[in-house]
Amino acid sequence: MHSFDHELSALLPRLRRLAHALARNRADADDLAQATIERMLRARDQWQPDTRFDAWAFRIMRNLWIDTGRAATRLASRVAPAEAGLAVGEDPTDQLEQRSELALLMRALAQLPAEQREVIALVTIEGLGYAEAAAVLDLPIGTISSRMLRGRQALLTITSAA
Amino acid sequence: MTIDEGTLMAWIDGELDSKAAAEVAAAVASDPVLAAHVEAQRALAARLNTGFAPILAEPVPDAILAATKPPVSEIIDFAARRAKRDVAVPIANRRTVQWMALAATLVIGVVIGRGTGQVVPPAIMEKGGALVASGLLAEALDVQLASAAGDGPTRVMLSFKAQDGRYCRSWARAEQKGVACRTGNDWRIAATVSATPERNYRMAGGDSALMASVDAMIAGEPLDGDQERAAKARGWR
Repeated sequence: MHSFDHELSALLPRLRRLAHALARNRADADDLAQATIERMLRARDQWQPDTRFDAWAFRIMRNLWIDTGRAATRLASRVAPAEAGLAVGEDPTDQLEQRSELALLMRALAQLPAEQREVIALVTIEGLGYAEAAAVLDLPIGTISSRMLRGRQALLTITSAA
Repeated sequence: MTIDEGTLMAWIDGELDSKAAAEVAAAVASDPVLAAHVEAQRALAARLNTGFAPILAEPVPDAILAATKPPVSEIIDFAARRAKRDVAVPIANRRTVQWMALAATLVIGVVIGRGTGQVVPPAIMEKGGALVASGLLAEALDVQLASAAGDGPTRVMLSFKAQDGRYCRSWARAEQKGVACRTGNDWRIAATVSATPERNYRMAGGDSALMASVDAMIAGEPLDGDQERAAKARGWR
């Protein structure tokens, strides 16, 4: 009974990390993490204690992100260039945050199609194996490896240009 | 031998069995172009790892910690208030407070309606000598769950069963808060208090008056999420 709560509090840092790898900015990432936790608590009876807690949690987060995030991402990709131009030099804290390595990587990941971003987030950032990522995403392993390949090539191009 | 890109990436990710991995390692060792490519990909993976690592070390924000502690506020709040209260307000006084507040709310409602010139269906109307919820308020009380946070104009805060067996629900809107009980097909208003922002000093008093009226009516504890869903499925009967 208490193992759920233990598992959950132990997982919070990783949940936030995955949320940051998926979301466009830090505020959205923490909103996503919070919404995931709320959904996990409502569905807590569905977790089977002999299965992987992190994979279950990641699956919930990813589905939430799909539900709410993709529309927002599409919108952001249309307005982002103008917004970024306006924001430069506005607020010193924002500027500092925008220049940080994390922010740079988040922006690079945000340029990938969602299906590539989620596999890179799970495999490269969260350290899941291809088979584990395949289970979280409900995809065949072959799809995971081909998306990893395309995503990495794209990301390498983006980060070398930055 | 030629190594396809997919195999190379799988090797970098440690996904190959030892025999295949040894073959790739040999090929990479003998091919500087391949080795440079592998190096670039490894550097990218390391950069992602290092870049996101600080999040693991950060303190978890309060909002996220709070989200791990169910059930959500209202119910705990309610139980805590009830447990803490040591002086009971006489029922006659409670009623007076409620109805005075209701009268004030209705007057404010009329003024706002005139000011904006908008035709807004009233949230509360008179029906057969009783005040009942109507329009969006009635709709919210019918369908909205207190256990599911909504962002509509009406927030349903608490659902409970009254001592007379009716289901009752408390709500909050921008201009007023109240309690209504299912009576036939209607939500009959049991109490309302004003919650207009410019009358903040009333809000605190309003909250405790509302809590007092809930307290006077309730049988047992507020409904939990499952009980609430079940009650909704039965049409609050």
